[in-house]
Amino acid sequence: MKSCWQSRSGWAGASLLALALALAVPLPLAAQGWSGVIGVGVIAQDDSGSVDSFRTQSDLDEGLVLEELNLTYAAGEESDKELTLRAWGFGGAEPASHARIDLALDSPWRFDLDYDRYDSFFALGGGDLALRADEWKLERWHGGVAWDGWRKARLSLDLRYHERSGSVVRPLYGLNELYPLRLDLDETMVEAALRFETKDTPVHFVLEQAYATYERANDRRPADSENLAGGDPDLFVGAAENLDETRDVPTTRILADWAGERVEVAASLLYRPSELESTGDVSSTFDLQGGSIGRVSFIDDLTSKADSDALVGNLRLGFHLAPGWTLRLSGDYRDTATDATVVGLTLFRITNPVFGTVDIGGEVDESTVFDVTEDEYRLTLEWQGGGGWSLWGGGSTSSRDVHWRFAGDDPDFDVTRDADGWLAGVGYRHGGVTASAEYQRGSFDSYVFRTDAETVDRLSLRASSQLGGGWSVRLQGRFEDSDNPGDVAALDRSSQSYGGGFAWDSEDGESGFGVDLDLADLTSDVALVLPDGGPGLSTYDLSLLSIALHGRTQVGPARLSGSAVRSEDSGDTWPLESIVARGRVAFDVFTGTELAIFGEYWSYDEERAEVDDFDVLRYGVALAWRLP
Amino acid sequence: MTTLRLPESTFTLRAAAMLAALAAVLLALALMVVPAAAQEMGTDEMADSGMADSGMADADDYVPREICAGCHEQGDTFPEGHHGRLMARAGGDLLERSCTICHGPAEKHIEETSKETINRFPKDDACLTCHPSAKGRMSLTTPAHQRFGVACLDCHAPGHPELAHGESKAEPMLAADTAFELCASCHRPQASAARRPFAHREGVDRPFDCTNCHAVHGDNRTGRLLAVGDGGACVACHTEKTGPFVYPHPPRGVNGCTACHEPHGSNNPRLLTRRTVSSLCLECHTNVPSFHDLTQARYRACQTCHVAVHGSNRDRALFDE
Repeated sequence: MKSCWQSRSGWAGASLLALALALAVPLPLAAQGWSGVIGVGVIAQDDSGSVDSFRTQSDLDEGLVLEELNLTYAAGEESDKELTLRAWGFGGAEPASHARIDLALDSPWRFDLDYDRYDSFFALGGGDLALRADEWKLERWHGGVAWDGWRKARLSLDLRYHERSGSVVRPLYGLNELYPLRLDLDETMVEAALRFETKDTPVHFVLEQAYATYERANDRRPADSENLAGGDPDLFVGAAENLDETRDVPTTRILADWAGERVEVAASLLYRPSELESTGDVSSTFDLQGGSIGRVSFIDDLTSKADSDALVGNLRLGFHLAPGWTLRLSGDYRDTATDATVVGLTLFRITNPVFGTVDIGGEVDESTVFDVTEDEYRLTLEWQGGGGWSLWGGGSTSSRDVHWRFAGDDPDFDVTRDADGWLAGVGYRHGGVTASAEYQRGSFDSYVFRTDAETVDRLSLRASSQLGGGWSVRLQGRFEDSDNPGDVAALDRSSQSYGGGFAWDSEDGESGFGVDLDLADLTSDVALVLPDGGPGLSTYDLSLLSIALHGRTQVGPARLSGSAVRSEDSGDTWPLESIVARGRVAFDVFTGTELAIFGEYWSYDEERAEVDDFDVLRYGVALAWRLP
Repeated sequence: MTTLRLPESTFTLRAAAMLAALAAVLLALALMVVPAAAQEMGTDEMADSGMADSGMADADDYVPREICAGCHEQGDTFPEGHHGRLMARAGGDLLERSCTICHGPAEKHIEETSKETINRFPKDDACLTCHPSAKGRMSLTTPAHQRFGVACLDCHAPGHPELAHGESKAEPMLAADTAFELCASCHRPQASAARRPFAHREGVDRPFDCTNCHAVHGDNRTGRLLAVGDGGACVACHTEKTGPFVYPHPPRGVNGCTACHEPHGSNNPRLLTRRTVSSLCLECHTNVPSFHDLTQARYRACQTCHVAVHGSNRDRALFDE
């Protein structure tokens, strides 16, 4: 077991300096009218096994972390001016961070600013995805300004900027071998949305017009010149991506809803025409026999265009027919139609000391179509009677029309299918006891994909009760079976998830504990046609038992809290065991100042392989200041 | 199916029919509601305080908070909580009427101080007094919540900071510390899935917020993607998969991302529904060329070569993005 703590003394010094600075911050803030809480922590990590696997699952690291920042500045009782700051996650120890600023003035203007960061790391030693490695971050900015000065309406403008940066290393298939290709990501999205929303009006109405532009300007290069398996004399010496790729996505959205004594109506409509244009070349270059024979390049110089129209509508109607009786009608509609073209040249360029440069290739001129239209209509009748009982039942009918053509010489794929289903349920809610059972069944008449389940039966059961004295208990179960005929794919899927738990909370809320037990069983069999034409079977078997414990209490001046989750999959497909446990002790060192010591344990153990197993212990201290 | 070709898009007759129905409903609403609203909104004071749809008899018909505070300490502590502060900021005498708004008329209770003469646990109607638009919006996306009898105060804190779960520090108006905990109290299978090795996470004690993807009140905050089926909520973060593509992967366009991924959590990397990639792909692809020798590792991992599994703008076989 190694410790990263000792190896980063400089980082530890910086952490202490930051903590010292943070200690000094609350004092002047409190004097200037701020209230709220600031909490920072510093975390060390001891690990054994695959750190990459641990990061792939959690992306946690050692370092600083802003546990909580929640500050409010109020100008005083005579003023509506208020500034609120909320943030968490900054510091590098956690994979996500968030910050938000809200500003309210003595005027109808409201301002807010959001920032989110999410890190993605992926690198596994085993499995089908072991040849790929991701390390990138997604940052999202959002700024909003709203005019709230009208009695009956509100107007707001939202601006968003998303950026994905970092790298992906993945295989590239060339010269009958796999070579490592590195993509440097440069993807952005800019969006502006103007929104008009009524308030305190009988009909609540929203109209929003947004316009978004996505741009991708990634770069690529060989991550290594050697092929992944090693031993091949041909070298991967060059890769380039000179693309100008833009997607323009305007979106119009309308929402309207109204609720009266006897009738409820809600409707929404969305229209989104999208346009893609991608021009430029992508190439990869290999030196044959290390360059002694010559060089070959694969070059795609293409212009791609796609136009897609999406129209989505929803309508909900509710009628209170008589005391206790409600009839609900709903309809959903979605139509997405995409027409696309790709034109240009694909070249195979050979450069040889004797023959010079020779280009072999040809023109590309293809058009594609991909359309999906679907609608669904449902009717439900509900009865809520005396004594807390309720009954409901209903039916649905839907249709789906799927049409695609991906090349001129391909036959069109065109399937229209109708489906129907029904549901029935019973519920009870009285005196702190809640229970419900619902059964659903659905089927259809023709297939889009061979793995579509022709019939689906689903039963959901749920019960919970407040037993008094702070005790509560809950039980749930969900059982689903689906299949299709042997001449399609012989799909046979069965899943059961059931479990329960109980919890206790003290009257003052300072102490409590809970236990949850969940079991999930899933078996799925699908008949395959293997590449050699022979029959095969895809079997997936999951049998997962999860036990979760959590608790908190106060012992003298110390506040103790902890949780643990153990998951064990004993299914035939890929048995494994996972444990995550945490504990924290916190106590007030001064009035309004809390010191906490915490630890976490993460363990992952695959039964049939060890390459991605890990045991990680994280521990640290945190300080929090609560301003009056 | 008969199809009408319009210059910019393709509409079917079903779409036209639905649009016509939608327009008719909106028109009917406008005709039906406007006269009724004119009768309901009696005073500017009621409109200002958001009581237009409350059904409460008269704005003067309330017991001031100070009277309640004479017996109930909650009358004094409520203004210190988040709900109380919001009411104070809303202006008028909303805060002073807060006890009556939620717990109902209190004249009988003053005469006879028993639990039977006051509404101790407010029903949804009390919340909708000030939040009237929530009622219709809930119908839009959460009819199951309504069927199962989920009430406002099942999820939201009433705003009494002295109660055990009266007000969470992190999310003051929620009846739990996080939105995840709140949803998990009923949606157990999804909560259990979120604890699997591969799941959306935001840090040690921050499970992925359910409302990042689910619009529980019928509206959505991004205003853009939740309502679109081909990728839905996922592409709000995974923007590179937004499309459109010249060569889309049909399952995504038809069944969405969940055709291959378990969004709430999985034992398999990338939240895939199968441990081995070839199993997942071969369940649909029955005409794979015979040179794909499944005894070799690289042919069992289809995405090794077919890297653009979510769609490509250049390559029909999805060899490149």
